[in-house]
Amino acid sequence: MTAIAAMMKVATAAAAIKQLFTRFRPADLVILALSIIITISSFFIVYAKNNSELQVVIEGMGQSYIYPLSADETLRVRGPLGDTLVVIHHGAVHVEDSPCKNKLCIAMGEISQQGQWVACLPNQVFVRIIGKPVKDGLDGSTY
Amino acid sequence: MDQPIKRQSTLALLGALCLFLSTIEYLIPKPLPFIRIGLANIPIMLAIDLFPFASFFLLVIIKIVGQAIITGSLFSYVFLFSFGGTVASALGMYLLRKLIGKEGISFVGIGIAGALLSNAVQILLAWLLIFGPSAQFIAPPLLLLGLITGLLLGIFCQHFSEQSRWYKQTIEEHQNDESR
Amino acid sequence: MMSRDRRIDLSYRFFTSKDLFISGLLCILALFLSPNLYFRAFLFVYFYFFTWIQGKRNSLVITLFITVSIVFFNLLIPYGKVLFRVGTFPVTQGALFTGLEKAITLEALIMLSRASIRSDLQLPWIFGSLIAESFRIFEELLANKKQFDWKKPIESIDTILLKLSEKKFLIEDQKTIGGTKRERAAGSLLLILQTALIWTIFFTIKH
Repeated sequence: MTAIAAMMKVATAAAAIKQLFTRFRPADLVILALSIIITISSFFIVYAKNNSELQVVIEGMGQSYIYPLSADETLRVRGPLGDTLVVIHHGAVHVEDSPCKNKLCIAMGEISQQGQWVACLPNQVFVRIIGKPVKDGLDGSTY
Repeated sequence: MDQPIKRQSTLALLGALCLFLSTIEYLIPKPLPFIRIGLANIPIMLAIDLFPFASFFLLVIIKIVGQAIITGSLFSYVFLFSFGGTVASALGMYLLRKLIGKEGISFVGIGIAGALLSNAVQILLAWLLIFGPSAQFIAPPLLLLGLITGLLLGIFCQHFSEQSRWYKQTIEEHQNDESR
Repeated sequence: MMSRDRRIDLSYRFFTSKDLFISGLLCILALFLSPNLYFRAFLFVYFYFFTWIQGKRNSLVITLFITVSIVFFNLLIPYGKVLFRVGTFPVTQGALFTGLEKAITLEALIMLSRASIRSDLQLPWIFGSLIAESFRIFEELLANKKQFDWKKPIESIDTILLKLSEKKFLIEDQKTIGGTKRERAAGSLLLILQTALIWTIFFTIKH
């Protein structure tokens, strides 16, 4: 008994849905289709891993800082020798000033690609660019 | 002299429906506060075919202000979200119907479009005012929700507009109005 | 502890909707003009209390939830000094501060508006009467809602609508449900003092 009743219910439901779809007007289907496309692609756009912004990680003497590469910031990073000035600007980051003797860090210039890094070894300041997510330890370095 | 009063009282009736549905939606327990079903948009959808734009927009304002008074959120950002979402959605729905006509589009399409517009604008406002760029992470599920609720509301409105005596009667009254 | 009904009753007797609205407007101005987060937090706490005085219901759970979610979303994009890590995820100072700032501002705004807007507020605009009529019909709807039949939703709604559209709704002049003149005067004074207090604080603190 119940099997027949269930089948009848499914049949009427299917008929109702079919009737529903035939009553759709052209623009309805267009909008429905468009909306499904937009919704599904939003999932891909937002949640895909390659949509991550690059980040700058700055480490010095027990403190670390993270900024998006698109930020506009000037940072004083404290080290044993004093403050190293790191500047993030226009999608690139460089060391502006440092209390070390040879100023190699400043000479390293600007970095703007994932995996690149500059460092002031005397002052124990490390600056590198990563993509999300944040992992501990250095990514492959290119120099 | 008789007709303008009827129109005003229909407007008030639909306004009252908006308030009523807002209350119901307010009382429905939701897992997350930003989930909106949009019940209060049903009277607005029905009003698209009943009124000229000025009166229609008046109803939209009544819905927004009335809803805000009921929930007591007239000043805060919450009001801003509701305002932005409802206005965008109402304008969009009205335009769609007027441009494509009753034969081309039914309440189903209008409902979906309206819900998506409302959610999109609210996501945008959240991006700008409270969440920042991270607002994008909540966008896809909200869009999906909008799609589903818009579809269901649209189906309901379409059925209602076809089966309701009150609705047919009101349309006739207002069409007699126009033809004067 | 006064019962909720008593508080509602007293607030309707002492405060007029208009006074509440105007004082609320003035306080919002102070909120927007001051970027000082402690001031905004103070306003939040104060108006949380004030809404309680009026007998309105506030949910701490919802407040907490909203605050946590705003902070959470802002933390997702790290910015600034890393304060600590949750697993591998860094909680940064800049993002945390931005999140807290937005959350506190929003909550203060919500409390302020809850305290300043009451359902008997008369809007002096053109559609003030229209909204009043809507609210009147709304009350009728509430009275009629038992006629809604789950099994025949559209039909029952239809019947209710037909019945209501026939009815003539007279718009009576809004009678002030308030208390005596003395009580209302006392209430106005209280609100003036409250607004003055808030603005005094505004002027004394650093921004």
